[in-house]
Order: sequence, then structure tokens, then C-alpha cells
Amino acid sequence: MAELSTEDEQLETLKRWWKEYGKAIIAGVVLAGAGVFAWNAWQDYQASQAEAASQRYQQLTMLMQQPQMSAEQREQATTMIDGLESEHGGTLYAELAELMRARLAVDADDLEGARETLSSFIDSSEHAYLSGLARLNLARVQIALDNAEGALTTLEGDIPTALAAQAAEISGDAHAALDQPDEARQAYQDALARAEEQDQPLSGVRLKLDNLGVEDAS
Amino acid sequence: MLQRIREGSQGWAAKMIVGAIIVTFALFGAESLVGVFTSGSNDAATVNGESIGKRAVEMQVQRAIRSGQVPPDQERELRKQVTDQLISTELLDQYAEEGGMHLSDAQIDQLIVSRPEFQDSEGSFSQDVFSNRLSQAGYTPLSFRRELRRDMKRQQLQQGLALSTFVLPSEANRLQALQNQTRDFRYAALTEEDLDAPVEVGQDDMQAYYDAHQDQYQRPEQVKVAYVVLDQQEVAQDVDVDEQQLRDAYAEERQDAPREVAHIMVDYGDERSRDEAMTRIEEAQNKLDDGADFAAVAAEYSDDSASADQGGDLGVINRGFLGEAFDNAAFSLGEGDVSSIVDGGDGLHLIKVTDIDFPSYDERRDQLAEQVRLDNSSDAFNERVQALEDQSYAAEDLQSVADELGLEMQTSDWVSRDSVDGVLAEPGVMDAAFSEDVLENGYNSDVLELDDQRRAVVRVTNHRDATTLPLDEVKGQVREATQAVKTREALAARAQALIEALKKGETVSLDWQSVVDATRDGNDAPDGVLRQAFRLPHPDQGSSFGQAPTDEGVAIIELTDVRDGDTGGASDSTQMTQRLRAQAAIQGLTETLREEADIERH
Repeated sequence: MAELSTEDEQLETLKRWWKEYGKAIIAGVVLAGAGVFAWNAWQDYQASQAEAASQRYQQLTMLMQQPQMSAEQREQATTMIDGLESEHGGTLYAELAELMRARLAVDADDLEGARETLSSFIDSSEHAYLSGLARLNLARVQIALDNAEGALTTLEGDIPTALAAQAAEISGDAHAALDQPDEARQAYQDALARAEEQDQPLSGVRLKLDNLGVEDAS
Repeated sequence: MLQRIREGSQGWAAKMIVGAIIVTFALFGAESLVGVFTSGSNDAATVNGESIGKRAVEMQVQRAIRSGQVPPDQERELRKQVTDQLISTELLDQYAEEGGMHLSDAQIDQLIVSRPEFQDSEGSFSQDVFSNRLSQAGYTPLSFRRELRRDMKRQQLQQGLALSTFVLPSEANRLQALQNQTRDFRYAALTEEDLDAPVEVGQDDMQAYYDAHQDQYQRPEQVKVAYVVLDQQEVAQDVDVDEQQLRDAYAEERQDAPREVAHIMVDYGDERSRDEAMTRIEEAQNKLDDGADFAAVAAEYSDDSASADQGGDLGVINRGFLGEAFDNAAFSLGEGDVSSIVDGGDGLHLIKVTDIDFPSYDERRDQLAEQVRLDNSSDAFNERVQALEDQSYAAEDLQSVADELGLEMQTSDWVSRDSVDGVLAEPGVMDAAFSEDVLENGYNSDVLELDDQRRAVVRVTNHRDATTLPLDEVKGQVREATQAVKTREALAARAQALIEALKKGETVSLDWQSVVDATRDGNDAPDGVLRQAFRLPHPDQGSSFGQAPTDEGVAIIELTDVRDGDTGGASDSTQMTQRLRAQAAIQGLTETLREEADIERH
């Protein structure tokens, strides 16, 4: 804009400018204000939702920490998990709760129930790492259900490399169950090597490997 | 220009700009603008665009160093670890945040209120205790709440992972059955004598072994050193001590020795004035002066009811037990002496030393003489140290220094930095020997202070670099090692041949040891044999065979039976397995996040 010399001229220009754009500016400000208000309200809503989920989850973990849960406590836990799932689906709270549901089923000796929970979790989860964990758990349940073939298929799904040692161990278990000692041995050796590489604790693999027997080992 | 702004700030356009800034602050907080200008150089790392401040790293590093857990020289390593730790924490924080984890103010309040460390002695929350604890730990209430909130979210995440792990009963049983497995086997040891002929070690074998094990035949950098030690004890031998000095030293020592005392005490204050007390105790003193028995006078006059009937006896006292006035009197008396009247502040005492528990002068004399000589010799010693310093600095060798000072020069054989003993092993000596001035320039070392009473000077007379010893020099060792290896190989081959024969059912004469019901952690067989016996294939038909090295050679193992163990009492190992699984799940998440994240270290 060219330099204008007197105050009067400046004022005149401003007035003209205001006449032309005034309404648009006011509308813009109002819109922006409404937007900010709505955004804050949305945030508040989100926060209150998250708080509710957090509180319910906290209660759930307290319950799940009991060393021996009664049938009634299991029931309570299941109700909480249902609530988290239906009202806060997709959050970590809901997904972790869903993994706990599988554990509850195992605790109640309901392996079929655990299998169903885990496989539908894998289909719906939004967290890759948690699906990986669920795949490991599912494969183990499948082996216990005499479906070692199914376990091997499950293990072919996406599993994070950080869990490779665990996956290898379970694969060894599946092969052992299928009476394939050579594959099992290979998998256990792989598990030990990866566990060492990643500095991870892994119990029992050495026992299982030794039990397969190696005649020429020394 | 500035003038215009100042004038303009009266106008409504300027007001609008100020207004906009106010609105921004109100809606988004001052950080939104301040943050723009302050990010950058103060970061130790950024994790997916979020920064980890150098200050946060530094605070933890300093805290660890102050607590004495980490020696300061590992600070660099520690700083790296702390940064790593903070990166992991930040990753989990981000994961929790994106996953919709949240803790309300009310939840945080409740946590704070329920924490025992913020409660007063009655177990209820105290604002004062809270503020004190926080400021001790370097937090403000706001930063503490923020930290706690992050902690709790991470904890929720980790708990979720841990609480969803399980161990299937079939898995627990299988492991338990394996752990408690028992095996029946027998083994026969073969030693060198079982070979038809001793192995022969040729030049080629030795060369091959030597080439493959060069690391065993390294010799580090070595020196031969000469050194002299100046010892104050020796200087002291030539120093005179006169009898009076010894007597004085003895008296001084004895003065503070524990002693058995008795006293007569006359109170003042409540029942009588100090003057009245003084009159009464002077009466007692007069009786003692007239030769009366101390015990009798104590019984008659002393107000200390506990001791009055015991002859005034107070038992053995050390300095500091009974106040300064009492000590001054009691520790200036000889055995059997009675003090003049002592004012203890609340009563007047007459004190008698009945026994001093201290060795006699003759018993102490030799030790005292040594001590006194040492004390007397410090000037002489310092002079000699000075002379040693001057001489060794100026001299081109060490022998002349030793001669000049009348010291004996010692020499060593070849030694490396860490293969020394005696004087050379004392801190700083080899460092000096390998210092540039001594090792390369060939000077005498500075005067080294070994301890308060000893000084040394060291000089390098020969030096050789680290090297691989030639085969000729280590032939003996190489032959022995090669022989051992070849014997082991021959024994292994022999064992294998015997195993083949056994498998065919041929009769082989061996000295078998039978082990029945062996357990993994049992001690029925040598460790290596037992371990191998538990690694052999199950003997489905007949037996399975294997061999294991032993201390003296090799053992042939024949495994005859494997029985799965008891599966009862699996709960301990199940818990262990479960814990490990939980740990792996948590560790795995951190690693996965790390792999996927965009991490920059500065």
C-alpha cells in the first residue's frame, strides 16, 4: 500500500475498506468463534468419555489382579469388559480388556471361548502389536485344542519381530504336537537364538529342546 | 516507525491486534506462542517430533550420581542409558495417549491422597507433608501431577498386557513333566589308558594348534624396573630416644586410660545450700585426711544412694562419662589418690581412683619407643625425602641415588602392568613406570608416596613391546595342549566305535556305573554326564547311546528308560512362566514402538 500522508485520508480509506469487507469479517469471526466453541465442547466430551473408560478399566485391572477369582468376580469382570467394548470400542482400554476376556475364558477352562474371543479380536483390532500378541495366544489355545495345524497357520499372520522368539517357541510346540521332531527342534533352536539376540527371558525352551534328543550332541 | 506505532496504539486497529493475542493466550495458553521460540537446542532427543529435554536427562543423571549408585566416571554411559530410558517412556506415553488413555483430575487427586508417603503420622493426607516431599524431590505440584498422570497411563498399559497373559494347564503340565522327568542310564568312563597307544604329537599338529590359538600365546608389553624405597621406620632406627621422653609419653597415654573410681557425693540445691554442702563435705575430707577408710566415709556422708553402700564405687569410667569437672579430677589422679573437692554442678564430690586398667611402663616401653622414635624422626625423614627428590631428579641413573642416600636398589625381572606384586603392585607405581617420562625418556620417576611413611622412586631399565611368542619359546605348553586335544579326539573316536559295537549287540567289556531314577538336578553322575543323559533321544526300542566329555576323558552313556515326572505342584513354575510372558509382552511393545518411531538423538 502506498504511504498515505494525512490522518484524514487514512481514516477515509479504512472506512471504505470496512464497508466492503466488514460483514465478511464479522461472519468470519463468528464462525471461528463457533468453531472454537464446538471444538472445545468436543474435546470436553472426548475427555469425559475417556475418563469414564479409564475408571472402568482401572476397576477391571483391580479385579483381574486377584490371585484366585471367584465365579462372581469373573462375571463382574465380563460385564466391565462388555461395557468397555460397547461404549469405548477401539480404545486401548477396550482392546486390552478384550485380551483379558480371553484369559478369563482360559481361567474358566473354556478354551473354545478363548479361541473365539482371540480370533475375532485379531480381525477387528486397530493395534498391530496387540493383534500380534493375540495371534500368539490364539496359536497356543489352538494347540491345546488339538489343532496344531491351525496354530501354524495362525503363526503365519503378522507378528512383530520383537515377539519372534515367542512365536518360534510356539511353532516348536505345534510341530512337537504334530510329531515332527526335526521341525520342532529347528524352531526351538531358532527361539533360543532369537531370545538371546533380543535379550529376552524365555523359560522351558531348553527343556523341550533337550527332550527331543540329539544323539550326536556334545 | 516506532513513533507511528506508539501513536497508532491509541487507535482501534492496534487494540484489535492486542485483543487477538489475548484471545490466543486465553484459548490455547501462553505455551502455544512461547513454545514456538524455545524448541530446539535444548533437546537430548526427539521422538516422533516430541522432544526430550536435556534438563530432564541431566536431572536423573545427577540424582543417580548423588545417590552413589553410579561412579562419576560412568557418567557418559549413564547419560546414554537415561536418555534411552526416557525415549522408551516417551514412546509408551505416546502410545497410551493415541490409544485414548486418560486420567481425570479426580483420579489423580485420589491417587495422591491415598499414597502413604503423603500421609501424616495418623495416616491421613497432609498438605504440608505433600509439599515437603515434592520440594525435596524437586517437583512442583503441577509437574508432579503431570508426571504422575503419565506414570499411571503407562502403568495401565503395562497392567493390561500383564493381566491378559495366561498359561494353559496343558502347557504347565508339560513343562512340569519335563522338569521332573527321571531317567535310568549307565555310563562308563574312558581315560587315556583305554587307548591302544598314546597319541603322537608331530610338529605339524603343534604348528596347527599354535596357529589356531595365537591368543593364548600373547605377551603383553613388559619392563624391567629398578626402584628404591625410603621408609620412615628405617630412618627412625637411627634416631635417639631418651628415657624421660618415654616416661612422658607413657604418662600421657595412661592419663586417658579407663579407670575404676569411687566417690563421695554431697548434694546441694533442694535440701541444703551449697555452703552447707561444702561444710559437710569438708568434714568428710577431714576424716579421710585423718586416715579414715574411704568406704566407711562414703557410707556415712555420700548422698549417692546407689554407690554409698558399695564403698562409693562407680565402676570403670572413660573420659566423657561424667562431665568435664569430674573427668579433669578423675583423670589427673594416680592409683589410690583422692581428689580435692570437685563441684559437679549439682553436688560436690570427693573422687578416689581405685584402679587404672592399663599395662605397666615396662610392658609398654618397646612399643612406646618405636612410636616416639617415629615421631622424633619426621624432620629427618622429610629431609631425606627432599634429598631423594633432588638426587633422583638430577641423576642419570638410580644406583648413584641409592648409594648417596644409603638405600638398597631393588631390581625386578620382566613385569607387565598387571603382573606385579610387592612394592610394584602398590597404587601408582606401575603407572609411573609406564609413564612417558620414565618409559620413553628414561628418567627416574617422581618421588611416589606409597603411604604416610614410605616413598619410592622407580626407573625402567629394559622395555619390550607386546608380542606373540614364537612357537619355539612356548613349545612345551603347545605340546601339552595339543596332546590333550588329540587325546580327547582319540577317546571320542574310540567311544564312538564302542557305541557302534554296542548298538550291534556285540559284547564289550566296560566298567559300567548304573544310575536309576536320575533327576535333572541330582548328583548321581558327573554334571556333564548327567546333562548329556538328559539330552539323549528317548529309547523307544532298546537303548539309546551317547557320549559326554569328563574331566579325565570321555564317558559312554547308555540310556535305558525315560519317565515323565510328577505334574503336581506346578503353580510355582507356572507363575514364573506367566511373569516371563508378561515381561516379554511389555518389553516387546517397547521394542516394536522403537522400531517404528522416528527417533533422533542430539
